[in-house]
Amino acid sequence: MLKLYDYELSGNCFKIRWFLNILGVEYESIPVEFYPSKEHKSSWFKQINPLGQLPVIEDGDLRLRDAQAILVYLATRYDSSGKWYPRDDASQIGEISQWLSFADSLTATISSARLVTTFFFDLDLEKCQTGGHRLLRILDEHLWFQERQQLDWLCGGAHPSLAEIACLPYVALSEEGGISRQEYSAVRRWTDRVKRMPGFIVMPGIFPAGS
Amino acid sequence: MKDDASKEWIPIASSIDLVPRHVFHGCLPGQDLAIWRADDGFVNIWQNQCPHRGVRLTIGTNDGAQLRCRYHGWCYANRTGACTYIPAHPGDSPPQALINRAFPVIEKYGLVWTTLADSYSALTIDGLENKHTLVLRAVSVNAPMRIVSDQLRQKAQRFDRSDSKGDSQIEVISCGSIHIELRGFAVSPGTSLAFFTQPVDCDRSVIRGVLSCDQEPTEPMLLLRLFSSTLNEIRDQIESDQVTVLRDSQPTLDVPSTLPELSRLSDDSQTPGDQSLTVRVSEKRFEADGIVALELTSANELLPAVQPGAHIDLCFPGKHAAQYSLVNGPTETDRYIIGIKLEEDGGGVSRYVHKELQKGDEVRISPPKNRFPLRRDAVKTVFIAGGIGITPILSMAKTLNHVKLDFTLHYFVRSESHIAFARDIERLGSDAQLHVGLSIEHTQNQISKILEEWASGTQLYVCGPSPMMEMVKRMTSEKDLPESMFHAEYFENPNAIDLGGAFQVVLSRSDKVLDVPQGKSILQVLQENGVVVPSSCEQGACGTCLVRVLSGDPIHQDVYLTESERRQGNWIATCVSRSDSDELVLDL
Repeated sequence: MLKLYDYELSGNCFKIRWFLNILGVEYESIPVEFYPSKEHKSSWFKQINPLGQLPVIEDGDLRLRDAQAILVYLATRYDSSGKWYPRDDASQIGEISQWLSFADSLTATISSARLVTTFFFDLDLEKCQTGGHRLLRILDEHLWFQERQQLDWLCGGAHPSLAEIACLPYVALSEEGGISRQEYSAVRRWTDRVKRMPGFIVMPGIFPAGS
Repeated sequence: MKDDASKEWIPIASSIDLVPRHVFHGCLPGQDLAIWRADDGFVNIWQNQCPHRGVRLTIGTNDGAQLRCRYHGWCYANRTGACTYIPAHPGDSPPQALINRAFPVIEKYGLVWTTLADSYSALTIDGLENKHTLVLRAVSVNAPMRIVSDQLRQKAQRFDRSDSKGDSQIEVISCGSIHIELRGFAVSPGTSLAFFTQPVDCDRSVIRGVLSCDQEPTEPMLLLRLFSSTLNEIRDQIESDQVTVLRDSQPTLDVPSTLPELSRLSDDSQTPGDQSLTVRVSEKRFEADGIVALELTSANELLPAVQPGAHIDLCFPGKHAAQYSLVNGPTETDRYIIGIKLEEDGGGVSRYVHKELQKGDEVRISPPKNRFPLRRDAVKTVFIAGGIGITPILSMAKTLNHVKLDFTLHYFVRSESHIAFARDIERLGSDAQLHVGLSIEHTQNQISKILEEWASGTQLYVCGPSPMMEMVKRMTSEKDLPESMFHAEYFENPNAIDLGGAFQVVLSRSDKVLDVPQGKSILQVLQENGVVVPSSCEQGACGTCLVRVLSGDPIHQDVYLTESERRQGNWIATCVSRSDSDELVLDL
């Protein structure tokens, strides 16, 4: 069975759990205690991922780190509909990759702010929060214009894509990092839509959408 | 700044922001707002704080007719903001006074406006009347409103994107500190741009723009992108000038604790026997044999919220008030709907309604009261209604249907022509079953069949003619079904009341001893001695006049209390109950 090195409060682990649930793929969760024992920096875990980062999956002989890379692998391997990561559509793949990389920027800003506020990391909180707001502004403007063209999702297609799975978690957790989404109304509508997708699950800090 | 924010209508959202089943997060200085559109289109602007534990309502659920708090699930109704359900007390009706603070709302020119002022006039912006309008993307700026408005004025020429190299002809018309209008666009002369600067807090604002044209713009997306990028440029410049933000003095706002009309409603609903609402008969229609339906609307458009199972008192001068259950479902918030059966030997209200009352007449009613609350935590709910008893049951069925909870409605009627509210019942689909023209025996068999399907977690609500209610009650106890699953509302007490036997009541809190002679009720004696106990039906059916008993052996005679409540003897209906002991000690 597929193994997931997992931490309940990690947004990057959450996106893997969520996508596995959408795909209906069974997996075994191996808890790695991020806080307070920093098990992800322990020597046993560094043998699994030398970067000392979560999540990691093991599927047969394959060991894979990096949340975005894992999403691409899971979609390619297990999504028979081909809708989450349409391999044959060049512009879609381009757009999705752009948002997968945006998701990394969200980790670097919003997730870092949350590391300070909830796990007491010694980082520059104000810098992380300012960076988070800058990204949310860009996301909000993009989504507002998507709405004007009757497009519900980050990329152009009618079906949501890996971009949604990769970007939602740290957007939805921003308030834990002291980054309010009050002024990002298009982002707030998008999170509602994404949470209403079949197969959505929750984690502490990420609520279900309204009915 | 204080004046602007507290006296004018302020745009706080675009109409297109308020999509179905979403809660928009708005903000004015000192006031966080939860803004949501119900399925009927009405826009609610509420304090963003559940009155229960203060959690933000913007993380709650808009179900189309009510907003449910994320924390403990308290539900607040569209329009009034009144609490209609508390999941932790599924069998109780929330107090009518429990109302979320709502703010005035106007939706106009593609924007949603509110004001924090006590009094306000209509909103008219000349430049936008009778024009085609296109609402621009709202742009948030990290700078105080006054600076943003000034900068918009100074940078107005940036909005002229005509290709001509000549001087821009844009004319800036200032219409108050939050409103600026730009006219004289070279490309299309009939076009003007109105900007409104909404304050968010002491150092944040939102620029909301509306483009108005004589003709519908042919390429709206192009215009939206153009103005969005211009606004972004202006925003970036303002923000970089604001490296050290000049903090405006923190604005202090005088916000009324509740809207005047809401505070009036909540206070009045506390008064027993009150007829504080004046409504107009907006519709009177034949509903079924012997039944007319009335639709009642209010001139001020805001009727207190309806909980499923609630009723109103209908009052006419010189007649006893009569109680009628509301048929409203959770989405029907703009009117009260009642069904009235002609009772030839009744107190005269039904006769008056059937024969005299006209569409357009004014009537006095009480705010809704609920003594037949509906649980929403049952695995399944079974409704049994007979004849006019359909009215509260229908309101309940509509509620469960709206929130997609499992129920079955059994409606017993004498004949096809006696089916009231047929269209509403049709809308419930296969969850509603009609039983037409059954004999007493067949009715009994049918009810027996319904009760046989009873499973743990089922709740039963019954309303209809007294013999039918007694039948269902008897059968549930014969089948040993738990009493707590049986809920009934009696319109009348079928039993003859015996006012024989004198005794004394001791009022423990007011230290009084009163004689209750033969032929007088406890209630009458209390009222004669100046003790106020609210009452309504005065025949032991409605439960309005319940009082706690501290000691003594009451003889109940009412049909309101359950068997176990009677056995415990903690409560009596003072209008009909007597005493077996020489004295009853009451908690009065």
